[in-house]
Amino acid sequence: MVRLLILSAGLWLFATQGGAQVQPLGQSYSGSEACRACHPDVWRTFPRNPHFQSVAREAPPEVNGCEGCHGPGGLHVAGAGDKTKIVRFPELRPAAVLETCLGCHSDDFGKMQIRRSAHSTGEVSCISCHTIHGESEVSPLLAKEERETCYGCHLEVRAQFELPFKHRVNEGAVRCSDCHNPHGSPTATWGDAHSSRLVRPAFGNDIACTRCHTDKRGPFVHEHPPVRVDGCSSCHSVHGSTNPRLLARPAAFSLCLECHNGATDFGTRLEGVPNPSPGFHNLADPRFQNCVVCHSRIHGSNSDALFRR
Amino acid sequence: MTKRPMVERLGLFALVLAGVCGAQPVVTPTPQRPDQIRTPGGYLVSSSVEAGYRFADVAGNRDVYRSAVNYGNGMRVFEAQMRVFREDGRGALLDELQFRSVGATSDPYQFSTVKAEKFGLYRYDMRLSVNRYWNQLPALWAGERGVQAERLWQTHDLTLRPGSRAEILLGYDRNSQTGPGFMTEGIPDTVGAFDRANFLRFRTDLRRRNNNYRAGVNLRAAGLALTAIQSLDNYKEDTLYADAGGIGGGLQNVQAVTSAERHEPIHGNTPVTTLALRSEKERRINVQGRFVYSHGARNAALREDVAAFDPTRNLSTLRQTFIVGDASRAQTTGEGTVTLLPSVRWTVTNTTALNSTRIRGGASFLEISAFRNQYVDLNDLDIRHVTNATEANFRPVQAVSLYAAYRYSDRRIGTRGALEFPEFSFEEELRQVDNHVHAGAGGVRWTPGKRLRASFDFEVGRADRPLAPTSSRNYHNESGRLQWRREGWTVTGFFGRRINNNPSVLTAYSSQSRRGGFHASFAPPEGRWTLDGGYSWTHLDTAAGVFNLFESQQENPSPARAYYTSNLHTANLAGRFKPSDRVTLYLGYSLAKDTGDGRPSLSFDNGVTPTYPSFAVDGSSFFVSFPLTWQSPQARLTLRLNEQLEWNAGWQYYGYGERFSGLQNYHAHTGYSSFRWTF
Repeated sequence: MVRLLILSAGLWLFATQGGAQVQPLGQSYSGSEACRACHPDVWRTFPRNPHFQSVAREAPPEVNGCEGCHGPGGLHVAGAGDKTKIVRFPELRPAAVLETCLGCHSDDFGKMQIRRSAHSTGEVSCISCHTIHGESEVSPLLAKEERETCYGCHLEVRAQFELPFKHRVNEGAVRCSDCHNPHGSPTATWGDAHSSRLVRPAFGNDIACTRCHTDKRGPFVHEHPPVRVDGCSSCHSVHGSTNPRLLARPAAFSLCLECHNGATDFGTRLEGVPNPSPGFHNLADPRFQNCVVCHSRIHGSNSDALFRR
Repeated sequence: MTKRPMVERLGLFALVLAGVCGAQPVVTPTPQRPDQIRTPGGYLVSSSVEAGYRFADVAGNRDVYRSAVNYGNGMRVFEAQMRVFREDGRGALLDELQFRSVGATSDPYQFSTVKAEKFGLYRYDMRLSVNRYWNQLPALWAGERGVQAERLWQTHDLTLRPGSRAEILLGYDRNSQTGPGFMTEGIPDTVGAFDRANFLRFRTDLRRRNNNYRAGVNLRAAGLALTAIQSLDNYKEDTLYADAGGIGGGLQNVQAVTSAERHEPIHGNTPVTTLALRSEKERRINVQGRFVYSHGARNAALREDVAAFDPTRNLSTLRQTFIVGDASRAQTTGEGTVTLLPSVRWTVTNTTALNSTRIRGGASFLEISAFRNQYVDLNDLDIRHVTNATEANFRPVQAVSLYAAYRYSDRRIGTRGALEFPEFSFEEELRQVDNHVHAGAGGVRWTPGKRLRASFDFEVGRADRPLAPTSSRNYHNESGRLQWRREGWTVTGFFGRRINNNPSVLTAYSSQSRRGGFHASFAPPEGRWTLDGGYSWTHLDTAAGVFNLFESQQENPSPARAYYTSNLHTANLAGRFKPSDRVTLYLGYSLAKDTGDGRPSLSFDNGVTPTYPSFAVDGSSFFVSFPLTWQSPQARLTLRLNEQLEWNAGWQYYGYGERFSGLQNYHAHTGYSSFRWTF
């Protein structure tokens, strides 16, 4: 029993210890006015940054003003600006930057998954995207327009939004963060649940696209299973495409036939995804080359099992 | 959009280029921040307005232009912005107010944002987005469908006592979609005069709206943070499908439908409960959990009247259809994550998630014409996911970080259905299919200094029962990224590959995508000019097993292979030049080109004539390819007239050309001239 208590106490002490937080380098605080004297370039725009409220309000120095983030600056000031005596964020490991920022910004539950997000594991820290001192017209304190911030690394996505058919991100009607949570997303409820790609679920646990495309959300009496099971990207290239309606193939019937081939290993009952009845669907007749002319409710229907109205 | 003579168009182009020029894509407003600051009542105030005239001159297929670009002529407020800020945080009810509006009044793409905050008391965020577009199905015989839609999306979030230990969260979203349209639709059944070769033609009045209301709290105590949010989502669709007139198949042996009308209202609510608990401060062991429960319901009713002439009885036949259906979806999601931080070098997380989706649908069908058809259709679809993922990050030295993960998921799909006719019924028993996915992933990040940063990632996965032949089964991905910065230079390169094989008898599916590219930018310290450009490519090859449905009237068609090839190249180049303090010039060019499978023309050498512009049949092989070119040069000039006034002019060309068919090609000159007033 004693061993168990000791073990429990040890685990509790281990668990409640800080991990990668920034450690103060000095013992004395100098106050933000001392910083202003030597860093006028920072102070030129800092009053127009919301972080300045930490200077303006009366609060303990460890959470107040410049030293709230940079740690005590006494030795830095005494050393005539010795850079080794102050916390400099560009020099920190990304995890340490993250933990410093979470000291105040952990209240947002959108950041729940930030420690395991693809950005954090990819060594992308807060200051890669956000401006901490500068004036920003772009909420939440992004250093650049949101899309430009993302394009800086995601070059292939930039190219996708320059295709003839795309979501209107470059035009401003849609933002990257409408569909993605750059701070990490929960486990997806669609697909194989693994490749989250920082996708932001709609309405808490639904497929992201249904946030805007509410008519595709359902529920329907007759669901088209790939929509709910594999997700919209089964048929659509969601950023941009060379094909109208962001379809993954230029011809609708070729897209449908790749699944609807009757192969018995697949489908919701392992009986195959049904292939079109051949005697009727003669593709040599152009009438049948666009499946959705008849199967017009392809995302789901309340009236017809074959999605025809 | 009026057509302008070529001389006028060239003249305008020359005028813009000869001027000197500006910044950013023309479709966005002049990217300037107001630097005129006033200080009434202790507030810093800055504001600006950019207004002017936009023109568009389109030639070719205007429907495709309206689907892809859709800028028109007219006066615009390109941008308006205002910021009010109290730097001492001692405003009575307001410390910060931000407003920004882009494209207001008549542009097809508009958004407005408002942020208002009194530090510690409240914070309000609003975003309003408008998207006006023409959405048309690719023009195919007897398959016309289009809608001139406007989607209006607004979201409001109000946080009371932000930053405190008890925050109150309130929110409201509204998403509406309206607009006129038209559509043709194949008749679902073959009964008497209602032949499936016939078509219904409707004019439509699209009316959809979705309202979301939510309220919740953020509580922080004892090192933990708890979020609880309850929301209610209300959906309403009352689209009208009315007789478009002049209905007739135009086919031999098919009787024309003489009138058609359909009403299909769909209404429903989805309450969503969200609970989230997490460690507030970083500890060596951090826990977080999340629970979401939603229960969506939709009630639908359909009434359809279709009249056609029945030659067998020499009279007009009316078919009346009544369908009443309701569907529900209960979705439960639970997720727990434990993060271990045993030292500054290690981060280990383990996440377990459970998701259960149960969809129940039932519809009562009644059709009255020469025959009476009546039945009840019941359908169940269940999806259950259990997922576990363990991920570890290790930094052995300052410059190197290693990442490894193992992920497992078990997805069970259950289906059951029943059909009940007045005289008999039959039922499908519950069938369940399990798909297990095992995936391993890893990566390395190398940052030898401030200037260089490199990463490599991979993932290998195996699934045993994927849903569809195109789903992931035996797949692996690799990707890498390299970034180098030095004194104004930023150079980034990337590559990626994904291969998926889905072996199956007769219908084996495989796909391979490879992509890569680079981007470079240079901004010298003096800031007089910047250059940036990039190039990327994506090669996609898929081979799928299909049945050859081109074999006319064959009851047992032979298997065939369908090949899809896309070789997509995209490039962009842009330069911003500031020859004097008063003048800024921006020049840019972007290009997207799919070279397809390399065929120079629509036909194969053997003279096979394709039946679809992107499609060719050669024996038992289908080849799908869609070569096209899409390019957009642009220029922009900003001339600073005085401290408060700027004049801007811009031009952008859009050229869209498909190689195999010119039916959808278009080109357009768009541009604008505007003044920006800063005050």
